[in-house]
Amino acid sequence: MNVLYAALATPTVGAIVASIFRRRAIRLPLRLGFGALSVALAALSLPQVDGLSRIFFVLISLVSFLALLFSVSIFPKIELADAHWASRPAYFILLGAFWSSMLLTVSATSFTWVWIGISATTLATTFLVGFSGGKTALEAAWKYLILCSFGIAIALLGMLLVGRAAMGAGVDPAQALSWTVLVAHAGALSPSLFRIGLLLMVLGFATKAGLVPMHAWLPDAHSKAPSPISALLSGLLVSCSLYAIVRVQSVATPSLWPMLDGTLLVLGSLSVIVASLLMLAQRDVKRFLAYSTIEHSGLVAIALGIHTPLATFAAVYHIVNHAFSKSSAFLSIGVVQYARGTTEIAALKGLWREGRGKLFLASLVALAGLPPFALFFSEMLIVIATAVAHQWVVLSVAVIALAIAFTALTRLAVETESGVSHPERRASPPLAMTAVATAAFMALLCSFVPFTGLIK
Amino acid sequence: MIDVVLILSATALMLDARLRPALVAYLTFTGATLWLAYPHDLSARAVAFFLAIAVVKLIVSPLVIVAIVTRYGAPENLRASFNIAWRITIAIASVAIGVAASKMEAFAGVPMAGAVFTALFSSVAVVVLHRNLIAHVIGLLMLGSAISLAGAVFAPGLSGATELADTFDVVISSLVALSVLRSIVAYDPHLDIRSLKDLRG
Repeated sequence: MNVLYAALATPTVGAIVASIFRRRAIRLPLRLGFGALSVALAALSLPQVDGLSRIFFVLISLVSFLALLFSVSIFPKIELADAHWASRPAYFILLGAFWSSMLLTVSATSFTWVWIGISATTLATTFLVGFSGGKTALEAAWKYLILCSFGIAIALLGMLLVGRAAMGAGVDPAQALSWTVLVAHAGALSPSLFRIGLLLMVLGFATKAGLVPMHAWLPDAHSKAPSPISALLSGLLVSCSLYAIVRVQSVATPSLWPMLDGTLLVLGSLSVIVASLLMLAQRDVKRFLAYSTIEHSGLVAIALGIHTPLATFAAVYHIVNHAFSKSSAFLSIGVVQYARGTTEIAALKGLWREGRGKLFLASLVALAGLPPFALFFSEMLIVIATAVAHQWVVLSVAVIALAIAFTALTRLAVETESGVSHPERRASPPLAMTAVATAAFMALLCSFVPFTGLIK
Repeated sequence: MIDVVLILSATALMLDARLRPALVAYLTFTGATLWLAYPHDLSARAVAFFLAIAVVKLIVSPLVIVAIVTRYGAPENLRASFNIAWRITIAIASVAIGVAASKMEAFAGVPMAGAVFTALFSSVAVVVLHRNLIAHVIGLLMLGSAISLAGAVFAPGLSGATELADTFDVVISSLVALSVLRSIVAYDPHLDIRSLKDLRG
């Protein structure tokens, strides 16, 4: 069997197989074993995908495995209520399906399969967002489903228009949405149809990337989902949507760049400023981190809108760095929630005295864009690329937003880390702590990884 | 003629806030779009996808909606968000924008383009114009129908993968939405969107 297909299927199939066994002594090693096998198969299938997909393949595999590690250690049972699909096997099968669908998104060579992959993530994650079964979680799942369904439907409409433009230029219908074919025939496509199609695709995928003003689903979904799922939504799902936008941008002809780039710059600038201001007003850590995701997604959109080789490199580099940093933050707050039973900022004091609190602080430092964490370097690259492109208004907005976000992160760190520690309810499970520490370490390690070669 | 049926049923869905007439209008709207979107090539794959969509939209989804209303005592009032004057204005605007969009240079010479855009804007309007979550499911289903119609009108020969995408869209919008709806109705039999405001932190 093709290794790539095996890599795509193993997370879901493995979760189903492991769920057949009732004894925890068998089920747990099976879950971890299939997770490790998924990572290994993804590594073996790297030669079958291009450079950009390779980066996302590695990213998705590593972060998903950390979420799995966390989940087998701390199953979100403490939040479990009575959604009719909420059960331990269902959780792991949905997690596997989410993992598989993200791999499908980044391994595709045509927009159709990218779209199917991103839609499949909705299928799995709607249930995962509402997994706790609490009223607010179910409503968050509903909001997520409605807004993202409209978003991806708009993207599908855009694809149909691009397909029509391609077929009008004599392209074989079976290849009409392949990006290599579209690039080869770009000059012959109807400009007006192609323009509208690409614009709709960008707007559709931007909805799933949580860019303002299509962001309303994101803070609710990310804050109500179980912590490992929040880590995947924030670190990977948003990244997959940004990846789709990179692919859309790659098929546009130079005459269409001003329209697409302008759209991304407007969406990006709105996202960074709105999200950073709203970060100041949050009372819940997970909701705070969700707005931070919108801010970083906006920074990536700005970099893509600048559309120079340096900016595109910075965008992809930033996606990778953000994925590890945000996963570390969500997983560490998941351990804190497990121990203290809350994620309200006012109720969390004295985290500095605990190991998990130190890891949470490290992830906040990373998200603030401070060295030696890799987000410092990617943020600097985005700022430099924006300045080199003489986009002074966008640069001013981005710098102001970064300063506001830095202030909000500093305040969160001071409020949660200082003060007297509450009596501990539960000790932190070692596997969960390993997942958190690995994510934080990866956020640090990315500072030293030569990504340029991979991009080429 | 069929595009007139489509526009009239979409308008009825925007204006009427009663569940039963809305379901009748929905079935008419979906029947019309499926009639127009019927695959030309008649390959086994195309017909299979088409049948899957038709069964889910015309049979499964309406039956599940009726079952939820009957079993949980959910209201048959779809709760209009605006008064009738505003709804009429928005309904006229949806049709007008749809017709205007079809006049764009990119769609010149495409038959039924106006009906496609009217169907798209109407489906969004149905969600905006009602507070009952059942109306939102109907809006999502309408959007899926509008996309199927767009596929048939704009890109009739596009590959089977797009048909798969279309089918996938229907599955998500109907089956997943109805599944979540079933869980929500246990908490809130009124199924009112206003309770979503509780989420804002």
